[in-house]
Amino acid sequence: MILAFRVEKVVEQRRTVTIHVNGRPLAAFEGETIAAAMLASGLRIFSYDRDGHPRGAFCNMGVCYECLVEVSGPRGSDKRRVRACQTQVEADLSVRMLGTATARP
Amino acid sequence: MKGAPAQTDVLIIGAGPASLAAASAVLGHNLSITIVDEQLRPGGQFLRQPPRCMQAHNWLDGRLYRPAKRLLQTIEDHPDIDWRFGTTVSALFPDPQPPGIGAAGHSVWLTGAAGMERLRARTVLLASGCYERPLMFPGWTLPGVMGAGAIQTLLKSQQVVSGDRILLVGSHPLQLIVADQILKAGGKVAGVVFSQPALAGGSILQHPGVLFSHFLQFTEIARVFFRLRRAGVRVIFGSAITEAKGTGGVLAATIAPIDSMGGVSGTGTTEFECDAVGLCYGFLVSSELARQVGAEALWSENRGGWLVQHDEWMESTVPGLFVAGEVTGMAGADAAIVEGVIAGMGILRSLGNLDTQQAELGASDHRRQREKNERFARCLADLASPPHALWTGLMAPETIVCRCETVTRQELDDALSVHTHIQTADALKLLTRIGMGLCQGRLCHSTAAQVLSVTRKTSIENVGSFHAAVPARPVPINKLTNT
Repeated sequence: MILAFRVEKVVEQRRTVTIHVNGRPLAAFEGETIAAAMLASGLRIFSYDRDGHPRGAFCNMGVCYECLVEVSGPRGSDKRRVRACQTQVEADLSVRMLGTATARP
Repeated sequence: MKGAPAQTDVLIIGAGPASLAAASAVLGHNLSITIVDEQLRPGGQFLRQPPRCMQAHNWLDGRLYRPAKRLLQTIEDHPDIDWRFGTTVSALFPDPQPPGIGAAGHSVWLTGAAGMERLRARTVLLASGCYERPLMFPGWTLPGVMGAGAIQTLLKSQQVVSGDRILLVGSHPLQLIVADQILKAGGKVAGVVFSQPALAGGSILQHPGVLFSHFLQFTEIARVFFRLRRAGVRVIFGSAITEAKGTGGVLAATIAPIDSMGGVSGTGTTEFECDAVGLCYGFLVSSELARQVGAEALWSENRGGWLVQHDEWMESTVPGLFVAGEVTGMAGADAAIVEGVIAGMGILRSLGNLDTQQAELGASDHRRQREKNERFARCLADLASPPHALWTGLMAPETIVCRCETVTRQELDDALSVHTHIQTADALKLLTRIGMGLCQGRLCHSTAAQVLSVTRKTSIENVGSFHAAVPARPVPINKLTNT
């Protein structure tokens, strides 16, 4: 299954940007949101809830906060939590998902 | 927030069709205009634009988008407007101006990339739109289950198709438009499932006036419907989604026929293979900021929840706070544009730039159009809503109601059976933490209120809404203190 994908044929040539998601490099395009870049690379899980169950982007308009991730710049600078659907990718951005796949006590 | 706050004559919250129309109406009167929006470009969700570096060919080329696109083209980048993109209104307070100015005045907290700042506004237009009202069923929190609007805005603004095989389930005709856009983008639609029986759409023939005044909308929906059928998309009526299955994300979904009571019996189910599900059961309006300052809002099951009440100038019960667009009741982009113009006239009148007669002249045609739009919207709202019982009828005990705080239906039912004195949504919130998370109850408030009203056999009005608190959206503590 290929999951989400980019509509390449209708979009002008764009510059690529490499971000890191949980330590792994991920190719994105300039102007994309973190959420769009993750989805288009087959990453549907944005966090795990307190029971260890996966959660994903739900509203894509900044209302639900289900796509909240921790981002930081080079060498862990400017660490903050943002909505992946409201935040554009930039070079050297590191994204870390919140929560783990095991239930919290 | 240091120093004296900046001032503006007209603060417009939201940059969708209603806001753009109001700004156009107010321009040219020597007033300072500020527009605040969380997105990075104007257009709202209806015209959610791709970033400038991502030019998409034939962007939103459907007929339904034309009037709003024309408006957007005339006003985007207008130099006489102070555009504040990527900015959230965190709070709205009454702030009486020095006497003699002639407007009631408000103070707002704006949160942007640079931090938080205060802005004083002589008048405020709240045109904050709406968001999807989620239907809750087993598996609805699985990754891949999204609002149909989320699937649509990923396409509109990011040129991303949300899945390999997308299933749309709902009651609103918007899901036909979304399905059509997915196909045009090269995606596959597993099916479109309506809760209404097949012939429900025919009841529109009982409203010939509405059919006539909004002919374009009906013919466009019909054209899309037949285009989908020709493309081999399954369109199913009288059914609802009952479960989303998968580990790590949705891989299949089950639908079942709806019975005469508006419930789902669980017999005659069909399973669809799909990796994305779009929910399209209607919308909730974003009236939090108006409710925060005490503007009167009345509950409407089918028009979007707590709707802000207003007079003939679109002024709410809080002087100086105007409203337009979906926050007054779901009616669509064309109706939002009309309300935006009327609100613009109301603002010019309240600031003394127009006398009542001049403002009446500017508003009269739009008021007539608004009446037609209201008839259409009422008609559509009744047609496009699922049976009332469906909202609370599909959950299993372990189904999550509040996503942020992971509160299940069982936890709500337990709290209500143990604490029999609990009568209001706020009391239920204090007891169970429902609605206390980052979305501040936006996704769960209507379902929570409905569970409470069904359990206590009382009305939603008696149950009330979650208190609309400051800040209206989560704010990092370092921005609050600007450190």
